[in-house]
Amino acid sequence: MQNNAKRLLIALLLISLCLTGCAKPRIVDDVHLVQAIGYDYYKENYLLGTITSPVYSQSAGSGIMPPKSDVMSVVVKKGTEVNAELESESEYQLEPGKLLVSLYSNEIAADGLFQYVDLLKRNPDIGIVTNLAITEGSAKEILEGQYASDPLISEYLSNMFKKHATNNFPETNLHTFLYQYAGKGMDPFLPLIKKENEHVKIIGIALFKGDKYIDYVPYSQAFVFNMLYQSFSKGNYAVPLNASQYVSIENISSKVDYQVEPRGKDGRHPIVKISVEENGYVRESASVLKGKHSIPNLQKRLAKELQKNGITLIKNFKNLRTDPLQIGSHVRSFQRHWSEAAWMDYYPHADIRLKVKVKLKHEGITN
Amino acid sequence: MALEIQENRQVSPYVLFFIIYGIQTGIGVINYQRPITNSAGYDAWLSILIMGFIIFVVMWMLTKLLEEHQGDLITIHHHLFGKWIGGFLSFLFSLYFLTMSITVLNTYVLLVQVWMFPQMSYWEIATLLSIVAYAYISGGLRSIAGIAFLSSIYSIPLILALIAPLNYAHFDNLLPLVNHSVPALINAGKQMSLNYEGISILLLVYPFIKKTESRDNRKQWVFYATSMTTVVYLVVYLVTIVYFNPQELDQYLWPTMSLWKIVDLPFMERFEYIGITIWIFVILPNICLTLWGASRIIKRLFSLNQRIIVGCLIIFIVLFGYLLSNQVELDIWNKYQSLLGLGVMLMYLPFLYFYNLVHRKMRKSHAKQR
Amino acid sequence: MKWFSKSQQSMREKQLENIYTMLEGSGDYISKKHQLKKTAIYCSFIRTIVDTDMLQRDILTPLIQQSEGTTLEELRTSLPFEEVILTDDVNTIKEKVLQGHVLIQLEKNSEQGLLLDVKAKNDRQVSPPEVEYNVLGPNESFIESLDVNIYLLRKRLPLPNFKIKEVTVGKLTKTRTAIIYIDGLANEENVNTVMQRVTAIEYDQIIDVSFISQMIEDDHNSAFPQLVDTERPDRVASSLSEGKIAILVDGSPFALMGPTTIVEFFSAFDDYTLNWYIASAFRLIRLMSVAFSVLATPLYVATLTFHYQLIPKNLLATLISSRMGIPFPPLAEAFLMEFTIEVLREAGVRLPTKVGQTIGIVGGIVIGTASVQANLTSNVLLILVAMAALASFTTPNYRMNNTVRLIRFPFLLFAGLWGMYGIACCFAIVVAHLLRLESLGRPYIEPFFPLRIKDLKDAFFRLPFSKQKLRPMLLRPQDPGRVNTQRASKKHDIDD
Repeated sequence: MQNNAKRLLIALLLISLCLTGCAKPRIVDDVHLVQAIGYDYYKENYLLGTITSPVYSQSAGSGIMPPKSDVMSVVVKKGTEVNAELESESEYQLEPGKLLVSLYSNEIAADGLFQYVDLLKRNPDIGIVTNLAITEGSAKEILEGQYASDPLISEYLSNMFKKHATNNFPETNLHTFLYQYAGKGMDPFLPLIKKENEHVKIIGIALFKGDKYIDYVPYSQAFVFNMLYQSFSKGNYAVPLNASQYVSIENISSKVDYQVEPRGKDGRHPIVKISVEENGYVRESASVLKGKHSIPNLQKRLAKELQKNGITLIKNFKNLRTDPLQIGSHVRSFQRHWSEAAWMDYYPHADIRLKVKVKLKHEGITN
Repeated sequence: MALEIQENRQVSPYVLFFIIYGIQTGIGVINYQRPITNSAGYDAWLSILIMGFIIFVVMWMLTKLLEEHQGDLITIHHHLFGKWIGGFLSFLFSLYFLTMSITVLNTYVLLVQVWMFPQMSYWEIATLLSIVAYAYISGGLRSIAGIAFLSSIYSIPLILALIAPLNYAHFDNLLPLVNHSVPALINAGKQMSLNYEGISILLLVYPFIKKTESRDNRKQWVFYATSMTTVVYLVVYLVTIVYFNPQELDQYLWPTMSLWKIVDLPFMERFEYIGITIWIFVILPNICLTLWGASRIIKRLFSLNQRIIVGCLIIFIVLFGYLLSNQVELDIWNKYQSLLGLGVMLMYLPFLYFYNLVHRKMRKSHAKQR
Repeated sequence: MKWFSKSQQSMREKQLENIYTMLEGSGDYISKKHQLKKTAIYCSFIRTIVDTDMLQRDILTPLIQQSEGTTLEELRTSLPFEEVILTDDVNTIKEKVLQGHVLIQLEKNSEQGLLLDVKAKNDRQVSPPEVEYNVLGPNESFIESLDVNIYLLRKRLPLPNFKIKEVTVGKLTKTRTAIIYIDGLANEENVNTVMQRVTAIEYDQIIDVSFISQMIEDDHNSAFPQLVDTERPDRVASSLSEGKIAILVDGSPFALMGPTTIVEFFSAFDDYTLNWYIASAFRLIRLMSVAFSVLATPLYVATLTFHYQLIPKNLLATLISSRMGIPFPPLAEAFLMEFTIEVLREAGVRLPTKVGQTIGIVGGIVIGTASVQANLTSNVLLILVAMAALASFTTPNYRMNNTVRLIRFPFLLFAGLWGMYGIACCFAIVVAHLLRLESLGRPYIEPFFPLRIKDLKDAFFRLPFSKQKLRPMLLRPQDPGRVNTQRASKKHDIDD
C-alpha cells in the first residue's frame, strides 16, 4: 500500500516535471550558427561587427548541396555585443556555440584585445580551441569575400589554421592566447592574415604586448620563430645557396632546450642559453649537392643561417619589449623569487644565447 | 552491546574502498585547484600530500574507535557521553551530513545551470536528481555501495580525458620546486577540507562491512581508498597546473570543467558536456551516502522508519536548497561548510579519539578502585 | 460409528455417480462392456486422448483371448504393463481417466477399477531450435512433452544425482512441473527457494513455462527478465552442471533457468562453441550493440535539441541539411520513426512467415524512402533508428530483446526533455533498479556488483575453458570446482 503510494508520488512528480519543465530547446537547424565573427573600427568609439553563418540547403535524397555563407554586419557602440544587435535581422536565434574563428582588425588589436576575448572566455558555449586572428586591413572584407576553395570562410580559415599548427607554425587558439595573456613572463601572439584575391593569406605572426598588437614576424621567419618557441616535428625552410639558387629543407624534428643560469657572471642577472637541434632532409634543391654544397657543408650553412635569424628575431623582441617566446617564464622556472617587473627591466639587454645544430638525414632519392 | 547488522544487509570489505573513495571525490574535484593555488601557488601539490597524510591519520583514529566500541557513531557517542549528550551529538552529526548533501546538490544544480541549461529552473534539476537519489537510498546501503562502485568505473573516462590537456602542458610551471613556506602549504591544505569532509560517513558504514572470523581486513580498504583519493587529487592538480598558469587558473571557477574543454573527440566535440553528464554519477554517491547517513542516525536515535525519514529529508534539502540557488549565496554557504568540515575533521574527530583514551583509562582506574 | 460410516458410504456413492455422469456428459467418453472367458469387464476411457490401437492391441486382445481371471487383482497380473493401478479412490480415478488412462471395472460405475496408462503420444518430433538458433553445436530443442524433455536432459547428464522434483500447479490445468537440479552441486538454498515459490503458485491456468516465470520472479514489476528461458537442452544441461536449477513444464517447449545474471541474457550458445577470443569479440559486439540500440536515438535527440555544440564541425552540414524543412522537433521525429519500426516488427511477427517478410521489406523500403522524401524524417535519423533496431536483434534472448527495445522510449523522452542531463538521470534510475534486482535472491548484475573477479571470466569476455576451473560463485555451488586435479602446465622452451 505504502509502496504504491510512493510509486504514485514519484510518477506524479515526473509527470508534473514533464509538463512544467523542458529546457529551452536549441534545435540545431532552428538556430543561426555563428561560425565566424570579425571586428573593425567604424569610426571613433563605434565598431563594425560582422558575423557569418552557414546556410545549408535541403538535401532530401539528392546529396549535399554546397552551403552558402550568410554575412551580416552591424555598427555598434564600443562595448556592446554584436550578436544582440544582429538578432534584429536574423531569421533564427544566433548561437555562438560553434564559433570557429574570431577576427580582429589590426587597428582594433592595437588598442587591446582583452575586452573582446573576455566575451569568448566567459561564455561556456564557446569552445576553447576557437581560432583568433588579426587581419591586416578590414575583417569585414575577409568575411564577405568569396573563396574558391571553400564556400564558408569560417571553415576555410579554421582548416588553414589547423594545418598550420602542424606545419611550420606554432599553434594558436583561444586557450593559448588566454594562457599567454594571463601568464607572467610571456606575451601572446596570433596569426596575421590578409585577403589576396580569391584566397586568404597568412602573412605572419602578430606580436602582442599585453593585449595590444604591436608588430609581426613575417611568414618567412615563422619557422625560426617556431623553432625557438617549441619542439615540433614538421616544417620546411629554404636556405639560399647563392643569389639565385636555394635548397628547401624538410624538417623531421626540432628540439629546443632552454637552460638558464639563474645567477649569471655578475651574480645577479640570469643567462639564458637556448640550444636547438634540427633534424631534417633535403626536399628540393636547385643545384647538385656536391662539393661546396655537400651535405656536411649544407648542414653548417643552415645552422649558421638559422642561428643568425634566430638571434635577430630575439633582438627584435627585446627591442619591442615583448616576450612571445616565454623566455621570462623559462627564467622564472629556474629562479626562486622571480619578479616580473625586475625581469622586464632587465629583458631588453638580457644575455640570451642561441646555439643551433643541424643534422640532415638524407638528400632524397637523387643527389 | 555490539551493533549487529543482518548478514544479508552487509557488504564485502572491498566495497568500503569505493564508499570512501566515492565520498571523497565529489563536488570538490571540480574546483579545489583554485583556493589551494591561491594559498600555496604551484607548490600546492605538496599540500595535497600533506592533507592526504592528515586524513590518513584521522582515518586510523576512526577505525581504532570503531573497533574498540564494536558499533557506529551512535554507539561511540553513547558510550563516551551517555544517552542524552551522546544522542544530541549524534543528532548534530545528522544535521552535518544534511548540510553536506545540500552543498553537493546545489553545487551540481548550479553547474548544470551554468554550463548546460541556463533557462532550466532549480526545481526541475533538483527534483530529478533527488528522485534518482531516492531510488538508490531506498535500496539501502547495498545499492548505495553499488553506485559508489559503478561511479568509480564510470569516472574512468573523465580521468582518461585528462590526457588531452597534456598536449598543451607547460611542465616548467612546476618549477622552481617548493617556493613556498610550510604554513602556506598547510593553509592550502585546509582549503581542501570540502573535498574530504565526507569521511565521517565511515563511522556509520563500518558495521555494515562484512568481516570474516579469520581476519578483519576492513581497515586496509579504508587506507587504500584514502591513498587512491590522494593520488587522484594529485594527478588532477598536476594536470591543471601544467595546463593553466597561476594567473589564469585564478580566473576559472571550475578548472576541471575548463580542462575538459580542450578534449576534442573525432565524433564529439566539447567534452565538458559529457563531463557534466557523467559527473552526476560522481556526485550521486555523495548525495546518497550523506542522506543515508543523516537518516540512519535519526533512525537509530528515534527508531523511526528510515524510508519516511529519507523522503522527508530529501524534500527538505530540495526546498532549503532553493535559498542557495545562486552563485553568491552558494559561495558563502560553501565557505561555512568548509569551515565546519575542517572543524569536524581536524578538531572533533581527533578529540573524540583522545577523549576515548582518557575515558578508557578512567574506566580502568575506576574498575581497579572497586 | 455405524451411522457415520454409512453416511460416508452414501456420500462416496453419490460422488461416484456424479463423476460418471459428468464424464458421460462429454461426447468422447466411452464406456463399453467386454465379455472375457470367465467374466465381463467394463472398459471406460476418453477416446480423444487415448491411443485406441494400443488399447486394443495390448489390453483388450490379451484380456479377451487369454485372461482366465475373475477378479481385478487377477486381471492386473495378466496384463503386460509396468504400472497398473488398482484403486478405489474416486479422485484418482477421475484424475487418471482425464489424463488418458483406461479404467477397467467388473461392474459398471463401481468404485473399484484398474487404471492403465494408454495415453496417446501425439507429440511432435524433436526439431532444431527456432528461437535460439546457432550455427555450430547440437541442433535439438525441447518439445511440448515433459517426458521427452527430461529424456533430452538425462541423455546429456547420465548421473545418479540428477534430481527431478515434480509438482502439479494450476487449479484447472493441473500442469506437471518439474524442478530439475543436480544434487550435491546446486545450492540447497536456491532449490528451496524455487520449490517454495513454485508450490506457492495460486492460479487457475499454467499454460506455459512463462506463466511460472512471471509468478516466481523476484520483482514482478521489472522490465528485465530474471530467469533465463531457453529451448536448448544442451544449454540447460550445461547450466545444470554449473549448479543452476531448471524448471520444465509439461506442454511448454521452453525451460526456465535460475539464478541468473544480466550477462547471461546476452550470451549465445555459439559463445561456447567458438574459439574463446572470437567468442569474446562477438560477445563484446553484442554488448556494444545493446548500448548503441538503447542510447543512439536518445543521444541524437539530446544533441540536436539542446547540445548542438557537441556536433563535430564536419558533421554539421550533414545533420543540418538532412533536417532542413522537417516540421517536427527531433523528439517527435524520433518517436515517429521508432514507433514505425516497432509497428513493422510487430506486424512482421503477427503475420504468417512469408507475408511477414514481405511486409518487413516493403515497409522498410517504402516507408523509409517515402518519409525521407516527404520531408517527415531526416535520413540520418532513419539510419540511426534502423541501426538501433538491427542492433537490438543481436540480443540472443527474446525476452531481453524486448526489454532492450522498449527501454529506449523512456530514454528518448528524458533526452527530449532534459537533454544529456535527462539521459544521465534515466540511466541512473535504470542502474538503481538493476542494483536492487535479484534473481532467486541472488544479485542480478553479479560479476560487476558485487564485484567478483572470478566470475568476470565469463562476462564481457569468455576466457578459455582451461581458465574457468571454478563454477560461477553467484550460484554458491556446493562443489565449486569444475576440475578436480590441477594439471601442471608445462612451459616449453624453444625447440624443446
